[in-house]
Amino acid sequence: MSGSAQPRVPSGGVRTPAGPPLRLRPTPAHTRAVVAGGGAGAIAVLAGRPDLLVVVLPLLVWALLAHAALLLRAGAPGPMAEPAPVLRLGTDRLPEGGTVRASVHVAPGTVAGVVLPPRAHAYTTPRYATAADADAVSLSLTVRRWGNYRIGPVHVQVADAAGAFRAQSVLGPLDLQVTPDSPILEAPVDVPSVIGISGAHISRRRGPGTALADVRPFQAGDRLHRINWRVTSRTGTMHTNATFSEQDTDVLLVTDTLVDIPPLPSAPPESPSSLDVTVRASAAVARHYLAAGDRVALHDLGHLIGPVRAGTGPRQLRVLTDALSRATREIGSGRAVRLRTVRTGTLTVVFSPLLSEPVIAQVGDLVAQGADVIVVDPLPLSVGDASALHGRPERRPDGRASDRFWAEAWVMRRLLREQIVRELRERGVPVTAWEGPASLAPVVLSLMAAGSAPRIRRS
Amino acid sequence: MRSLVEGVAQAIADLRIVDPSQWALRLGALAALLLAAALVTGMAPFGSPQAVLLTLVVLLLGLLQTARPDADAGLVAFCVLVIAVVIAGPLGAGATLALAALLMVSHALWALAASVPAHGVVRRGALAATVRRALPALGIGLVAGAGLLALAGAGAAVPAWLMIPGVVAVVVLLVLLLPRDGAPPAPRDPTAPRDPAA
Repeated sequence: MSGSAQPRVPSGGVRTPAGPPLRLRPTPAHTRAVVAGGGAGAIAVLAGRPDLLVVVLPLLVWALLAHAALLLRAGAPGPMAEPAPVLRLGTDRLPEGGTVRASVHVAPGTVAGVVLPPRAHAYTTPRYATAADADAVSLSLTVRRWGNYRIGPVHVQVADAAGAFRAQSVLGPLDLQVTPDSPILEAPVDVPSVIGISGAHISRRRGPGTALADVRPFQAGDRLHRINWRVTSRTGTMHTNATFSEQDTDVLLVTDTLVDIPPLPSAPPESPSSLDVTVRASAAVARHYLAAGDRVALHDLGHLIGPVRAGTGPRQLRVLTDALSRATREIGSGRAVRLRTVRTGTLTVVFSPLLSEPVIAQVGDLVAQGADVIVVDPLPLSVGDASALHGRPERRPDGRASDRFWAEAWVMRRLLREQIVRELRERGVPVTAWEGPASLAPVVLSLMAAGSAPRIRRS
Repeated sequence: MRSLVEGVAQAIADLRIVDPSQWALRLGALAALLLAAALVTGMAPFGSPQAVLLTLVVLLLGLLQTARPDADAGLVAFCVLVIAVVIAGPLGAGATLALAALLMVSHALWALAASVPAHGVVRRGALAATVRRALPALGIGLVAGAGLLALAGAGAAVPAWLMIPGVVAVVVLLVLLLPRDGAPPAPRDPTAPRDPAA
């Protein structure tokens, strides 16, 4: 450990605080060299056999040089002490599917062996997240799924270059926030109702705007720059352009986190659960309407995400994605947090598999209060898929037939749910499965068209 | 029978995850040790019953050390080879220096392999640092050893009165270099309360 000093840690990212110095101890390799060398040296002297001393002389020199390097190194906190290693993450916030570099930095001239415990949905390079290197050990971590991750605790073994002395330490953990993937929606930003003051949506009201509504005779109070000179010169009477006003709207995202339905084991690896689809779809819809200048809020019927007040702009997108990524996978008490009131005309997107009565009742309340409701179904497609049934019971890992018929039960549950979906559609509430960026476009357009369609009323 | 099959399957699974860099280090160390044993037997490891016994013992100890680089099997293997040299008599200058180099190489490779578990990658930086430390020790040891052999070959006998100081010097060297503490401590639990007196 010649020239030992503090670890050189690059700036930026997040890191663990500097800990107390580590206490070095001799390694079994050091013991082998000393015992074998000393024993053979003693025999060589007693028996007068210089060749025995020659055989073990490199080992003795190796041990002596290791001791000398330990005592002569500069900047060390003590003769048998080593500066504590430091764990560093390149960033503390990552998009889904992104890669972050985790590195452990030790004093120059020192060899470190690092073991990073595995995490679900996170893949490391090298494969088993274990490596040894001099001065700094770097590992790459690719996270496939949103959420909060604790990187560590990392087990570190620090040794001199010869491997004669070593110390062990545990670093971390450090928190890493992975935001959900929010693909760009292939959908118009049109909304059924505009209820704001100014924005990007063309309303039916006449007012200041850019979309031409009519060319009419000039009236007192009209703006001079709106005069249509072509029509005026043709008719001889002053005419002006009338426009539609442009307004924004409220968009409310309602997430059902009361249940998290995983895909069947037969589904492809990394298939999303219903909670994954809910979080990603919410982020995509929020990004879509925030980009259009609308106000977006979020209400969670469960207890995983928490409410987010209405806001606009990039800051609101960051607030929403932070709230979504903080959601855990712990299922709570199952009692829904009902939404009491909603402004009439609010575009409400409900992300729910429609499996519980309180959620269905909440959808009815929203419709009754005049909101324009769309239901997005995040239930994994593999769940309740009748084509996957083959008439034989599932096999457990030990080879025996399972006495649980989950696949068949889910098929029946999905059939029962179809009635609820049909009733909602008859009441003018579109229900669509989330199948990616193109999912919302036909639904939004149909909602605008269905705004004036007759609906079934219960007498 | 089932537990035996599961044990074998588990052993195969454990072998499959060993990193190639670890294979290179451990098998390289084992090869150097076996070559050292062959040198001691006069490059005839199966030439006599004693040679066969020596080769098999060193092979077994080498395999144990290869599986666990921090084990003491390697020390026993070194001692077996030294005893074999004592019994067999001087090997000759070239063979003695080669034996010293081979033992040093196997020792350095096992020391590096012990820095990380078997499934871990040993990168070039760690290997380069180990080579930078091992080469000077090897060079100094071989040069000093060659000089010592040259003196012995020239008939320079060690006076009898040097025996006692020589033994004392070896004992002092042992006392200075021997580790005073036991095995490295277990990793510290970061959540445990710290002793303010420590």
